[in-house]
Formats: sequence, C-alpha cells, structure tokens
Amino acid sequence: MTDLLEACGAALRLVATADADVVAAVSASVRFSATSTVLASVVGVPLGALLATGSFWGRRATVAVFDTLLALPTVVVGLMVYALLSRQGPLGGLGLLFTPGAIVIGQTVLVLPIVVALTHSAVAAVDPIFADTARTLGAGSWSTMLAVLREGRLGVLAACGTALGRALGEVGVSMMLGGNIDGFTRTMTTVIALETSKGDFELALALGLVLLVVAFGINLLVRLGRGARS
Amino acid sequence: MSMRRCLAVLFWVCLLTLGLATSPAEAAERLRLATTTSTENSGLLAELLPSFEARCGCEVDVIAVGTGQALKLGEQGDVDVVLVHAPALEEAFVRAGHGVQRRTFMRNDFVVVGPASDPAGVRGGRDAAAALETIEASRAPFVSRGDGSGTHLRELELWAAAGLDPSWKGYLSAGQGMGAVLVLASEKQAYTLSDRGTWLAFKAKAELEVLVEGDPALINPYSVISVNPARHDWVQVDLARQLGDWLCSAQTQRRIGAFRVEGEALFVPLLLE
Repeated sequence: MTDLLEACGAALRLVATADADVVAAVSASVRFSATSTVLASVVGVPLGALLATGSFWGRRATVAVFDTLLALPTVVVGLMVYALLSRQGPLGGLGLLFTPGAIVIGQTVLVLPIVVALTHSAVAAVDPIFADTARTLGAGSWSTMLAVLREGRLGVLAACGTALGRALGEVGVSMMLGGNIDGFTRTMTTVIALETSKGDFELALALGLVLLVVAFGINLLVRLGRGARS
Repeated sequence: MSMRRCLAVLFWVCLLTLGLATSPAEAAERLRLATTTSTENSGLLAELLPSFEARCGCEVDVIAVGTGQALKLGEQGDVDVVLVHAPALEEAFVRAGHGVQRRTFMRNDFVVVGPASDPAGVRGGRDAAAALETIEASRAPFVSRGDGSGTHLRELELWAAAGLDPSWKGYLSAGQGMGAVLVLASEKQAYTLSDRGTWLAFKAKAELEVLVEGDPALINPYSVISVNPARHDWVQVDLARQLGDWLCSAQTQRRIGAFRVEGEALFVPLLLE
C-alpha cells in the first residue's frame, strides 16, 4: 500500500527543505517533552533514590504503585488530566486545556513513574556496602542518598533518557490535552496521526522517520553528555 | 569538575532553557473552535481561516474531533464555538441552553461506497435506506464508524428509516475515524457510508467505488453554534459571533463554493441569495 522508499525520500525532502510545518512540530515536540522530562526528573530522581535507600513505612507499597503505573496508557493519563483541567474540573479556572501547558502536565504525569521506577532500580543495584560505608564515615541520610545516586548515575541518566523517549513518542496525551492545534500544540506525533487520518500515509511515514532522526540526535547528545563510558 | 560532568551539566541546562524559554508568546486573543475531522481534514478551514484571523487580529485554535465530542467540549465550556454536522444533536444542544446563534451555512453529502464487485447489487441506486436494506438482506459485510460521529449518527438514521436493526455477522462496528474505516472496508471489501471529502482523499488508496449518491437523505448540513456565554462567562462571545457572521458573509460563502479537492467541489454554500 505504501512505498517505504518513497516515504524515506519524502522524509529527506522535508528535512532538506526545512519545511516550516515540520520544523514547528519538531520544535513543539522537543520543547514539551524536554520540559516534562526535566520536571519529572526533578521530582522523580530524588523520590526514586529515597525509595531505594530510605527505610520508612509504606516504602514497598509505594515502589509497587510506581511499578504498576508504568503500565498507564496515555489515553488514561490524558483523560485524568483532562478531567482536572476542563472548565468543569477543579483546575478549570486556569484555562489550561488545549495549551502547551496541558501537554506538559500530562506528559509529566506520564513519565514520572518511569523516572521513579528506573531510578529506584538503578540506585537499588548499587552495592549496599557503599551506603553502609558512607554512613560509617559519618554521612547523614541526605548525603548518603547523594553519594549512592552519584554511584548509580548511569542508570539514573538512562531513566531520564527513557522518560524523554516516552514523552517524545506518545500521542494520546498530546492529542487529548493539546487538541492538535496548528502552530500551537501540534507535535510530531499528533501531526503523524492527523496525516494518517487524512490518508496521506507517505507524509505520515516520512514524519515518523523524521521523529526517529530527532530521537537519535537527542540520544547522541545524552551520550555526549555522560561521556563515552558505555 | 571533570570534562564529562561539565558536558552533562551543560546538556541538562540547555534542555531546561530550551524547554522553558521557547514557549510561544500568547499575545493574540485565541478563539477555540471545536469542529469535526471532515472539515479540518479536507483543508477547508486551513483555506478559509487565515483571512478571518487577519481581520479579527486573533488566533483560531481548531480542535478537530467527532461531532459528539465537539458538542461535549462546547457543553463544558472548553471551547468558544463549534462547527458540526448533526442537525438532531445540534437542536438538542441549543434547546438545552448550551449553545446560541446556530446558523446552518453549508452542506456536503454522504456517499455509500462498496466493492466494485457489488455483491448486494446496489450500484446506481438513489435511495440510501433502500440500499442499506438490500445490503443487509444479502448479508454482505458492512463497516460502521461506530464512534458517535455525525457520519455514524446519519448511518443509524438510515437504518431506522429502513426499519432495521443491523446485527448480522458481517456488520462491523469499527469505532474509528472515517479514513481508517475506509481502509478497513477496502481490506474487507465491505460497504460503508462516507462523507464525500474523506472519500476523495482516500479513493486512490481504497479499492472501493461510490455506489449510491444523490439521495436527499444523504445531504449533510454544517452549522456554526456559539457556546452560550450565560453558562460560561469566559467564552469569547464577540469573537464567536464574528466568526459566525463571517462564515455566513457573501464573500466567505463564495469561497466555500469555490473550494476544490482533487478538482471536485466539496461544500455547497447555503446562504448565497
């Protein structure tokens, strides 16, 4: 039905000519997903580390909850945040629905469990002797956590990278909360869904390839950021 | 600090500033328009709206969903104006006090499409309900939108007109958009009801043909309705009225009539004399 080679050609043309619509969609995708990943990381990394190093009541249950939330479908996140942000919802007065802010909120909720769960397993994988030694040397619980986090930083970075990939590739939240508004909340994934519904499969596929190239570029940057260690 | 850590910090700082600093300025007023995928996907709004935006100095946010969802967004006050095609639902919407200033300003039509082999033998008919009855009697496959869209509602009205409750094994409820349903119908060599705009966009990809058209029961009128500002005081009532007036103006009506997809006229303006 659709010629893959043709789509590759179309993708190359879109990139080569820096098509204005494509540039806008790529920019929107990167902006929204980067913002939500940073927000989720700021909350999720300390939380994941705390869940791995701390000992308090309800810790295991919380870990189990975040592990379960990994399975949250994007439409469900979209629906929940929609119910909050709709004019009839508790936060309706902010008028955030169908704005970039709504997408960022939805994506943050979507990727937070990824950051927490993967940070938790990365930090939990650090040899417990490490934390014991830190404590023996007189470190408080806060500096112990920081030391263990530093030891498990590759895994933590991978957690953030995975979250970014999820945010970049999701379509349910962006479509539902952003409304796919041209030049405002239209992202790579929603424009792909739109072109598919219009029957322009080649363009949709080409945009999918562009999205992969963008994701590859970001991965490359992350690798650069953490050095050539792995 | 090691080189590596410098780079890592630099990377996250870049990402953060990129994320936060480049959010577009929201200077212009925004009018939120919920509409159906058929108007948005045909390219009609992209053709018409820029001149309205230039005139009113605002941005029109087009949110393309099904008719049912568009009316729901209006009911909840999440949009300022709706542009939909389901007369019965529109009347109920206005009667319930959710909308004001309903104006029907253009129409297009539905077509019954099916495989070239036409196993039920409905080709060339001009009575859509009779054609559906024939298809049901032949037990040939039929794909329904099944998503509460304006097209789905029209299909249900046609079944009701035929006095039938479609439930044979070949009647498939897809729950998807028009394009996806046309692809599905093509793969299964089934009949379906489509709006003409989506059909034109997909006909090159679908191994289907138009079999029944021209029945008055297949006429598909579009209306613009402002969300009732008495219900939701944040609604942009002035801009919504301006958009309605502008869609009904002679100049815009002529442009609607001149709009072509694949060389075919798609919409018929209703307010030219």
